[in-house]
Amino acid sequence: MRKSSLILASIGTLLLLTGIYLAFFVTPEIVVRIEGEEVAQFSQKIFYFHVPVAWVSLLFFIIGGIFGIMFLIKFLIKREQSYDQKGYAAVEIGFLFGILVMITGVLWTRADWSVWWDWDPRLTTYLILMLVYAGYFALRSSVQEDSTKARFSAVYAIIAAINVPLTFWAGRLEALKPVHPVVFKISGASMEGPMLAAFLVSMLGMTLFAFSLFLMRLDLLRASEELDYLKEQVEVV
Amino acid sequence: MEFKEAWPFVIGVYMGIWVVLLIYVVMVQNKLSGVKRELTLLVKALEKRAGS
Amino acid sequence: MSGGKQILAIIKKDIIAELRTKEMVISMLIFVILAMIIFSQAFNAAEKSLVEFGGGLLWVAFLFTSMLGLNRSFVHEKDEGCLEGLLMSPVDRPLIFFGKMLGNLIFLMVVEVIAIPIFLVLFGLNIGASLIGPFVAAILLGNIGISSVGTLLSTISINTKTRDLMLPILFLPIIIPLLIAAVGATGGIISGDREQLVSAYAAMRFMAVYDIIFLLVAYALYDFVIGE
Repeated sequence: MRKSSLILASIGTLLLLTGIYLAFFVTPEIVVRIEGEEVAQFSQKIFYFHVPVAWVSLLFFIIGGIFGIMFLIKFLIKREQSYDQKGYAAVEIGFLFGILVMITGVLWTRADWSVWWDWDPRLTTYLILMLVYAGYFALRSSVQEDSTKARFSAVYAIIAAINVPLTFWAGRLEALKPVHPVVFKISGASMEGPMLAAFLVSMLGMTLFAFSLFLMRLDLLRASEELDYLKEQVEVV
Repeated sequence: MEFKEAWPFVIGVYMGIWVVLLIYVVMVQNKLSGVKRELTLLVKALEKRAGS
Repeated sequence: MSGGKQILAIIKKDIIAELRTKEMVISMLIFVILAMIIFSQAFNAAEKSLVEFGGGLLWVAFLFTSMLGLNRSFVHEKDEGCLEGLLMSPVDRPLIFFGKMLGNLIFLMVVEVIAIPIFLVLFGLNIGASLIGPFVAAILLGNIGISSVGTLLSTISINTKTRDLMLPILFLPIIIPLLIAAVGATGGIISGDREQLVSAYAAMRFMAVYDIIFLLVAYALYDFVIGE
């Protein structure tokens, strides 16, 4: 493992553990009135991990799009492939965290609304995004030539990243009443004190951890490319 | 949902995240060490060939 | 040749090729009517009020029909070696995008001009005289989005191993935001309800933004997907 990714991973893990501690032992339990009775919402604890995971996944989808743009710019000047690997690694990390968003989202739905799935605009939005990025992997695996693969996936990653905010916007257009809790509104966060602290710590921890995963994945991609290149050379000789 | 009903889901979420991430890390590291091993073997073979 | 003339030349080429065989428009037309009949049977439309999901039905039919045309337009070019010819001709590369996109748009609209009246008659829906303008605008906005995203993605998919199989996998998820808005817009207009009209116009604003963004992006990126 590279040193930088090891450092990032350990800081991330420490922060995440702190986040868990804060979430379970420090933050107050949310209490809601249902039919005049006060009910504690233990299931709200899911929030402290669900949202950071979703944030990381969206962040890496956007980063994937940015690497796509960088690749195309570099491609015009000199033929260079390194941004293709970076873009691929970023999208894969985004997808991995996307799977986690789906898992945690489904469990939250079950805990809070006692159904496994609900066609809530935001859950649906996420499912659509996952399908968009499933298309990215399908595209990569069906192009053989390396430079074409890199060009196509850069173009597709850019379109997909632009599609992320559009999909969220379209989801909110729906006349359907959203059931997904909206914690962040334009007017600012509706959290304070220890809740905000626990949330931010988890957020930061998750982001650092994800970056260390990204570096790891990039290492693997580079090493296997080197191996392929050497093998080709040996065959030529 | 209250603690006594909600705890399996909450624990499920926290454990699930860790399990998935750990599996990913192990997979990537495993593949990486495999690739590196192959690389060193290849380099050694090449050096031998160059030497002889 | 100026840019506009170059675009016109590409469109003209596509239309002449199509007029010779008429295979694409006719199969698209048959397909769209078949799709409507299949949906009406599958969802037992006779028993339910179609005002509620008429917009959705319309767009699903159009979306699948458009994919038929998109695939066709590039399979042709690729198989007959037209694409190489087009790339070698002194046409600015990005203009090829507008030529192909407008060609696809025209074919889709020709099909819709015939299919929409049939749809309205078959399902017994009326659109008030004052709402025909917004209805046409909503259809047009949807078509522009479909053909700009579709032209870019079908150029990509035709160059993959799986060729036309790849198009739905790439195209459908990207187009879903537009589909959501288009269904909301046409559904609201068909219902004619004042409150629903407000959200229909909001949906149309979204469609306009979507169209502008993807027209620009597809135009900028087209150079990278069409040939080396």
